[in-house]
Amino acid sequence: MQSPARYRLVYFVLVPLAFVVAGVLGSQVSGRIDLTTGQLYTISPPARERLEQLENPVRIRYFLSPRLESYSGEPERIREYLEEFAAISPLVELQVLDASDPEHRETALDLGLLPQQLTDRDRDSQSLVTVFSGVVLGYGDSQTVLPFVLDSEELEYELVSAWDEMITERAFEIAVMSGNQELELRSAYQNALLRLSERFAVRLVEQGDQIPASADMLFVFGNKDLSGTTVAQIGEFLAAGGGVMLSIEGVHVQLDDELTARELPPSDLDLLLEQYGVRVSRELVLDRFHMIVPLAGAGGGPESFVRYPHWITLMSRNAAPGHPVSEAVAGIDLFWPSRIEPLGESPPGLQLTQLYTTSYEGRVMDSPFATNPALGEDVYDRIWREGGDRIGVVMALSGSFPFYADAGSDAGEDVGSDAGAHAGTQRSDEMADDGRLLLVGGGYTFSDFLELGEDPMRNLRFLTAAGHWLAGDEDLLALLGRTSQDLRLNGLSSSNLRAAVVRFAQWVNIVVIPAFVLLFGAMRIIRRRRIKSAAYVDSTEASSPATKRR
Amino acid sequence: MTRLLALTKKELRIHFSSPPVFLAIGFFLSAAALWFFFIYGFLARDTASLRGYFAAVPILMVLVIPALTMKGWAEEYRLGTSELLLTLPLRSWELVLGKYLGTMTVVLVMVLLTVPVAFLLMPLGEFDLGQITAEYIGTVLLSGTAVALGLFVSVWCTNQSTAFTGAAGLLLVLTLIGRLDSVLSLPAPFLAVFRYVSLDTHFDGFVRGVLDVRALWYYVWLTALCLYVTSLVLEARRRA
Repeated sequence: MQSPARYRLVYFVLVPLAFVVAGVLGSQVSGRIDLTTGQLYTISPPARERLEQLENPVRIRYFLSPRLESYSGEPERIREYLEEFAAISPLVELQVLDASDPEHRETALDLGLLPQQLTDRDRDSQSLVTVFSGVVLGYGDSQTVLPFVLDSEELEYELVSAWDEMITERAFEIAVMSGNQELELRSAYQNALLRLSERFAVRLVEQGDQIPASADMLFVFGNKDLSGTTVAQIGEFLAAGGGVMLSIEGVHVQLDDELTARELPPSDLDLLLEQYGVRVSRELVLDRFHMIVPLAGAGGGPESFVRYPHWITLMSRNAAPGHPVSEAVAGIDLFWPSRIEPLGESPPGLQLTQLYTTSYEGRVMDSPFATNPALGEDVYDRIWREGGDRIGVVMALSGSFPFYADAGSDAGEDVGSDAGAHAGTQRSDEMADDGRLLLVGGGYTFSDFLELGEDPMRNLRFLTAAGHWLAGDEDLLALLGRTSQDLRLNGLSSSNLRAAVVRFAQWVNIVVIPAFVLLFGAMRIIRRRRIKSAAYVDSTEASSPATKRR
Repeated sequence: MTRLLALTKKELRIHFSSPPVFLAIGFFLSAAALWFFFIYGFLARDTASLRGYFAAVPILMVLVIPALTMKGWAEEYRLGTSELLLTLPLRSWELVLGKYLGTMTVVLVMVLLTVPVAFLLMPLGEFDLGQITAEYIGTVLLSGTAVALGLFVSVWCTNQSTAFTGAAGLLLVLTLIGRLDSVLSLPAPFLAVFRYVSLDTHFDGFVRGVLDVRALWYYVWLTALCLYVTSLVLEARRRA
C-alpha cells in the first residue's frame, strides 16, 4: 500500500504532468497517412523529384490572413503541404507571412496577390474583411505568383506547374485556330482560351496564317471550313514532331437553322487522317448516357426539360485505361459527336489509342438526321431498339507521322513553310520526328457551348491535359490526374433506376434498420422481463408457507 | 484480463437490457440518414461521397453518446450498487475500463449498422473506399473520446438526467468551440486554441480521407486523460 503522500505525488502531480507533456509534444508531431485513392493529400513522386534535383535556393512565401485560417481548414492544409515541401529540400525556404500585418499586406498587393472579401460577424454587426491566401515563388531573379489559393487538392499541380515555368523560364506555346467560320475564336471560345492561358502561352492564328515556329502545339477547334492549306500545315506540323489537337466532326449541326444537321463533304482533312489510318464517319453518335436540355415552351410557354441523346457525357469508365490523358480527366461532354474509327491496321510507326468510347449503349444515326430536341424522344425509339455498342469518339495517335503526300487542291507552294522551320526543311519519312495527335469527335466540344454541358470544368480540364500530353509533359499530366476522380453519381445509366436505388437506400437506412433495432430491443426487454417475473413467481412460490409445508 | 472481460460483459448485458440504448441507436441511424438524404441532399449534390453523412456524426454524437453513458456511474450511485462495486477486489482503472469497453462495444455495433448506407449507394458511382475507411476510423475515435467524456461526467453525478445533460453540454461545447469564429470576433490566438480543443476540427481530416497523427493523438490522449481522471475520482470515493 502506498503512503498517502506518495499516492498524491504520483497520481495528482506526476501522471497529470505526464499527460500535459504528452499532450504538448503530441500536438507538435506532424505526419499523416493518406488513405484516399491516388493519395490526394501527399506529395507525389514528380514533385519530390523536382525538389530533390534543386540546385539553387527557392523561396516560397505564403501570405495568409489569420482570419481566413479560422474560417476554413484549407489554409492550414496548404501551410502543412508547403511545410512538407520545404522539409524535403534544404534549398527551399518557406515563410508564412501574416497578411493582416500592414507591411505584409502592402507587399502582397504589390506582388499581385488577390485580396478576397470575407464577412466578419460580430455579436451585433457584420462587416467585410479583406483576406489573403496567396503563394509567391522566387527562384533567382524570377518570381511566380499564385494570386489566391484555397484548394489544397489542386495546390500541388498549381505549384509544380508554376515552379516549372519559373525555373525553365518558358511556358509551352499553343497556336489556336478555329476551323469553323461561324465561330470566332475570341467570342465563341472565351472559356477555353482563358483556361489554356492559365498554363500555356496562347497565340491565336487565323486560317491562312503560318503556324508560328515557336509554337509547340496546335489546337484546331472545328473543321467545317478547314482549308486544304491549313490541312497541309497540320500534316507538316505533325511530321515535324509537333502536337496537334483537332476537335472535328463528320456531321455539322447548323445552330442558326433549327439545328438541322448535314454531312460534311469529303475534304483534305479526310485524306490526311486516312494517311494516319483514321476516319471520321458521317454519322451522329448517340448514347444512353446523355444530357437533359432545357427546351423553350411553344408560344412563350413554360420551359421544359427533355432528354437529348445527341449530347453525350463520357466518363472515366469509358476511357482507355493507362493513357495519361484519360487518367488525368474524369470524362468529357460531347455535343453532336461523330464516330472516330481506325481504318484497319495502324500505319507503321504510329500508335493509335481509342481514348474514349461511348458506353455499351452507344448508337449511330445516319442521314436524315433528327437533331431538334423539340421533335420529342419518340424519334429515338427505332434507334434504341437496335443493339448498342461502344463507339469510339476520341482518339490519340502518337509516333512518327508520315509526311502528307496530297496537300489538296488549294495547298500552295509555301504551305507550312514556317511549320517546316519547326523541324527542318528537307525531310523524308526516315527523318520524321515523333508527334502527337488528339482527335476529339465533336466540332463544338470546346466552344462556349460547354457551359451547357454536365460539367464544363471537365472539358476545360481535358484541354489542359491535352496541352500537357502534346507537349510531352507527362509529370504535370500525372499531377493533374491526381485530382480527377469522377465523383458524379453516374454509375447507372437509367435515372429511374438511380432514383430507385436511392429510394431503397433511404428506406433501409431511415426506416428498416432503425425499426429493426427498436424491435430487437423491445423483444429483448420483454423477454428479460418475462424471465424476471417468472423467477419472481418461482421464488415467491418457493417461499410461500404452502410450498414450505409440502 | 478475465476480470476486465467479465466487467465488460456485465456492462454489455446492462446496455442491451436498457430501452434508452436502443432508442439512442435507432435515433442515430435514422437521424444521420435523414440528414444525409433529405437535408444535405445527397442525390441533388450528385457526388459519390459520404462526406455529408460523416459530417453529421459529431453533432449527433452530442445527443447519442450521453444517452449511452448517463447510466454509467450515476445509476450505480442511485441504486447503491456502487458500494458493492467499489468493495470488489478490482482496481479503479479496471472498473473504469470495463465500463468504457462495454459502452464502446455498443457504439461499435451502432457504427457497424451504418455500413449499409455505403454498401447500398456503391452502385451509383465511384466512391473512394480509402476515404470511407478513414471516415469510419475517425468516427470510432471520435465516439471513443465522447464515451470517455460521458463516463467522466457520469462519475460526478448521482442521477441519470444530470449525467445526460452534463455530458451533452460538455460535448456540445467541445464540438462547436472550433466554429466560434463564425459568431464571435475573437483574437487569432484564442481561435487557434479553440480549434485545437474542438472535437470537430480534428474530425475534418478523417472526413477528407487523411489520418493525421495529431488528430489521432488528440483523440487517444483525451480519451486516456478522461479515463484516468474518472479512475482517480473513483479511487478517491473508494478511499473516502
